[in-house]
Amino acid sequence: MSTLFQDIRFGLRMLAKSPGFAAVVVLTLAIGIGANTAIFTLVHAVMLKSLPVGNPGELYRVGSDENCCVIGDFQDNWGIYSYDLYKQFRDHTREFSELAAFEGGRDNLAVRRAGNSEAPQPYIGEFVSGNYFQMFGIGAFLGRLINPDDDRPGAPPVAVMSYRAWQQNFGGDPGIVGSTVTINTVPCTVAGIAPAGFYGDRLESDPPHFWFPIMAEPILRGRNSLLKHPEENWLYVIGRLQPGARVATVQAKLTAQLQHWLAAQPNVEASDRPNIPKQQIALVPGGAGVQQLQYYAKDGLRLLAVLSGLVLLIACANIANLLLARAAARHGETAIRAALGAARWRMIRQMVTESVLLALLGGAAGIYVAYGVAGAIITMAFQGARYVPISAAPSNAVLGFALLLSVLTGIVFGAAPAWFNSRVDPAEALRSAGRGMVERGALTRRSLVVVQVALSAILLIGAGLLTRSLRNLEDQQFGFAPEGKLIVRINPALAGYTPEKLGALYQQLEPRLRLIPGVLSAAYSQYSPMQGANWEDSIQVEGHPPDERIYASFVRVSPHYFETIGTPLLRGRVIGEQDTPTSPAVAVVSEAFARKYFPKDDPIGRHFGLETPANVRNYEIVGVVADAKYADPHAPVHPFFFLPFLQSPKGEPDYMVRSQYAGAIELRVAGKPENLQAVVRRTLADINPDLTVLDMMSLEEQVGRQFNEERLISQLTALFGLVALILACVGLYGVTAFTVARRTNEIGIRRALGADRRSVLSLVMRGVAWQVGLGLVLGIPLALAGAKFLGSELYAVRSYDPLVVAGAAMVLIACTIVASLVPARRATKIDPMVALRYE
Amino acid sequence: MEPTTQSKPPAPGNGGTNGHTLIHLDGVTKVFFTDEVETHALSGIYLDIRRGEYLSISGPSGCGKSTLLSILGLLDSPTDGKYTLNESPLEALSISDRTRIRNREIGFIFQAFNLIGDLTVYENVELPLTYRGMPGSERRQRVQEALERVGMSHRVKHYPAQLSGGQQQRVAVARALVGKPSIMLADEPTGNLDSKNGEAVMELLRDLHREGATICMVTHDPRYADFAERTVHLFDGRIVEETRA
Ligand SMILES: Nc1ncnc2c1ncn2[C@@H]1O[C@H](COP(=O)(O)OP(=O)(O)OP(=O)(O)O)[C@@H](O)[C@H]1O
Ligand SMILES: [Mg+2]
Repeated sequence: MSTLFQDIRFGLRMLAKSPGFAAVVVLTLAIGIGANTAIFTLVHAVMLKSLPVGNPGELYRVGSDENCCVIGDFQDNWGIYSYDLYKQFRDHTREFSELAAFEGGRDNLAVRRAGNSEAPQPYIGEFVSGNYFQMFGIGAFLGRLINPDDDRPGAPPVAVMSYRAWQQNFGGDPGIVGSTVTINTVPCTVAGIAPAGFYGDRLESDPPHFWFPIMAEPILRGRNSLLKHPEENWLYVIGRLQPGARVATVQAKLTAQLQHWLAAQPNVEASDRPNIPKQQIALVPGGAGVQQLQYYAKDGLRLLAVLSGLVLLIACANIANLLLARAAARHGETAIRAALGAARWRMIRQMVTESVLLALLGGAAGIYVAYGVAGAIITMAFQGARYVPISAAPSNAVLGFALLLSVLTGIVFGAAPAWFNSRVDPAEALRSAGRGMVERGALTRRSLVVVQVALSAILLIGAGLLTRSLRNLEDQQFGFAPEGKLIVRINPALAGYTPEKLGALYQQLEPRLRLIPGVLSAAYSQYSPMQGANWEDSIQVEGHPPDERIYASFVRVSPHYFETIGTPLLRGRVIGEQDTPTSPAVAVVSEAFARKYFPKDDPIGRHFGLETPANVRNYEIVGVVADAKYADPHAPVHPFFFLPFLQSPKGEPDYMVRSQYAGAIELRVAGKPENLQAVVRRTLADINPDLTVLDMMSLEEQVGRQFNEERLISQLTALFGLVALILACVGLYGVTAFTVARRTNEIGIRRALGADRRSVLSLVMRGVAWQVGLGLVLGIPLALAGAKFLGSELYAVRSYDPLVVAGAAMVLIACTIVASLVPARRATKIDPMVALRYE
Repeated sequence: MEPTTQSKPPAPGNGGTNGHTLIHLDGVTKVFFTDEVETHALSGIYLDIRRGEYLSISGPSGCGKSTLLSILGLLDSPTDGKYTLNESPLEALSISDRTRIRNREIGFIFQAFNLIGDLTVYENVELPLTYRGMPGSERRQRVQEALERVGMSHRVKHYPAQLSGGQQQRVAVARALVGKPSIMLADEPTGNLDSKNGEAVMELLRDLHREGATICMVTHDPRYADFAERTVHLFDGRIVEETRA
């Protein structure tokens, strides 16, 4: 033990003696360990952590699918359920001590404090079953939480507020508990405040501000309520399993209940019935709640973990190189120690101690780097979010990870040099300078540079591919023009509009908005492109057999919609003022729709309808517009149709009444869209003070947020690639400078024998070219093999894109040439006199 | 042996070159400036070396022998004075011209052998020819000849570390003579060798001289100085004495 202290003391002294060296190493390590710790911070916070609830290990989720938010069809592998189905599970599965249900989607709320005349403010709410908080095992911070009594038909509506909303929006006023707030024009009593850390049943950005009992759903949503629709699945279910309950048994039981329940449903289509035995439920650990975020973040995090690992490897190679050079310089000293009888393991331990010390210093600095990087990643990944319950602050797990990584790193980069240095022959202490001996460790040093170049090539090619992919995504033809558009999100339901009253609102909306100076045209629609919404159903198309399963997405749009959004009309006409509630029901279809369902003939004048064959003549096609991307910017366009508001032919499914609510206003404006925000707010408040603006942003911003993850990953990869490139260049510089220094005498002799500067330069650069060339030869195939795994992340880029590969190689070659030219030029200046002077 | 003292420079005109003179130094000085200290390593050297001559330079440590040799070998240039090689003045030459002349006209033999550890015996000897851009077949022949001449042709594939000191120095001699230089310069060629090996190298040089080579050798050892036809004695940067064998 005392010798270990001695080693540590000596190690510290050696580091203090060469502060420049120590600083370079610590900085390099801070970057390498920092990058990995940052990614680990996120992996830990996102993938490994449980919800802040009681005994999360006992929680199980009924269903493993992450699909959201309202699903009418069979799910095969079920994850989301109707209220009826939930009740079935709750009342017939005794293996759960509590089984709670909660909404899959999120409700926008318009909230106003009682007695306050200001415009209602937008908030986010969630309907939960009465035992939701009980099931999670948490108590109120203030007041009380929702209990099963609140969740009975006829119970007065209550709300539980999140601690954060209470602090940030209600000033932490304890008087709020027991008071009344107006939610979507309905008075609700605030029962209490949830505990500080609680953010709900899943990790998500902008978690709910309010929780309501499910029984309040018809009161707050009015005609849009889903509670009494057993065919609509909108609730996730999580329960606490009784001790001793077997997962497999419960799972089988739930599946049996599901199939049984489906078979008993009268409105299940005959064509679906044969599929009932195929419907099943998986019971999965629910301690982390619903794992939508985890599901989407998984691949990206894995990629970043691999890339940051590469950066650390490069950093290690770099430092091993520096240490090797230092070891070589200390060779004489080591030979003397060996001659004095130092045991080999003792010398190795001394040197590894020194490296671990360095690594710990680097790790400590790396924690700061990690904190900054993780914070930046969270901001970038959730751009547009107001709050993300993920902290970049290092937790104990993160600190432990950094410590472990540092020690491991220290051993990895310290072991090779220590090994080499300990292989001295004590007799060398007696010989004069080791003239004519093959340079010790030179091969290792060069191999390390080759490895660095190869790893950098991988990172650079990865960065190039991802950047190109992002560029392609952003620059693609969306089928609408994002520039100069302002999108205003609203929900008239929150202002108390029933479907009957919508007509009056819509009549005012377009003319009033169009009059705003700077607005060139105005329109509204059920939802806007790239807003994250998608309505989709099966359709019946004239001329197609009724049992052909055809799906299409749709959206209701107002007159002037297409000219406002910039989607060109290809044939026929667009939806216009003439399409009123009383005129014949019409539809405009997308090019893909026309091509797919009317490949041979003109779709204009043909008919289709939703779901059942009886509806097949519901809508008459009056126009064809260009394809546009509404949901997933990565996926190819799919068949789409557009319906006018307020038309509702006989036989339209019940849920279609909800589609009558306009969710977005589109404004085509002159100048910067953001400039109009205040006047738009005022105009809407003029129309109806209860009409809450839920969100407002330019369409470009809305589209841009679709690429948060891609942008994050491509920028981080580029950053990692840059770091790798710099480290590799520093490494190459170091090795070249070291080689030149070691070969000073040899180069002097060559000069004395008549080598001119060019041949000295080419002598040095030949070595560089070998290392870089070999690095590329190794790195490029590895990168291409690795890029296959990128495949799913890449958009319109081949994983072997020759331009990217060539570009990465050129950048590497150029940078390494620059890095090695400095020492190479120094070599050409070596005085031939050294050949004479050398003793 | 009759010592003659040379105390003053030869009269002007007397030092002009003729067909037999290979090297002519006229008042060559060398001053090193380091950290505000001036070291006068050479303070006015007047020296002629004829073709085919075997000259040795001796003197106490630090008197300027190596400095003189490095100027003779174009490794360094004088601070002042004239250096004429083969009747052409060398003062105004560019670095690349000096490199070229060094490669063609000068052969070096160093005390520490200075073979390149990473190259084989063959490649070491070939090196000066490579820098000359000589075609491969001609190079091979010349290297072969040079190695045979020093009796090392059986070791072409060896690395310097695998040879004894005497063998290494013989290879170094081969490297010096392979380019058929006008003069071979040797700085203490026996300094790192035992007496037996030292003697052998000296005999090799003497034989080369007999075959017509011009040699200028620095040595401490009076025994070896006697191998030369003429010895100049250096003291404090000046030639103080000249002896002839
Ligand atoms: N590059 C230099 N910078 C400064 N001083 C130098 C330099 N080279 C040589 N000198 C000085 O010039 C003087 C002559 O040195 P030189 O090496 O020629 O001596 P030497 O006669 O070869 O000695 P030795 O027999 O020990 O090899 C010495 O005083 C030395 O310190
Ligand atoms: Mg000397």
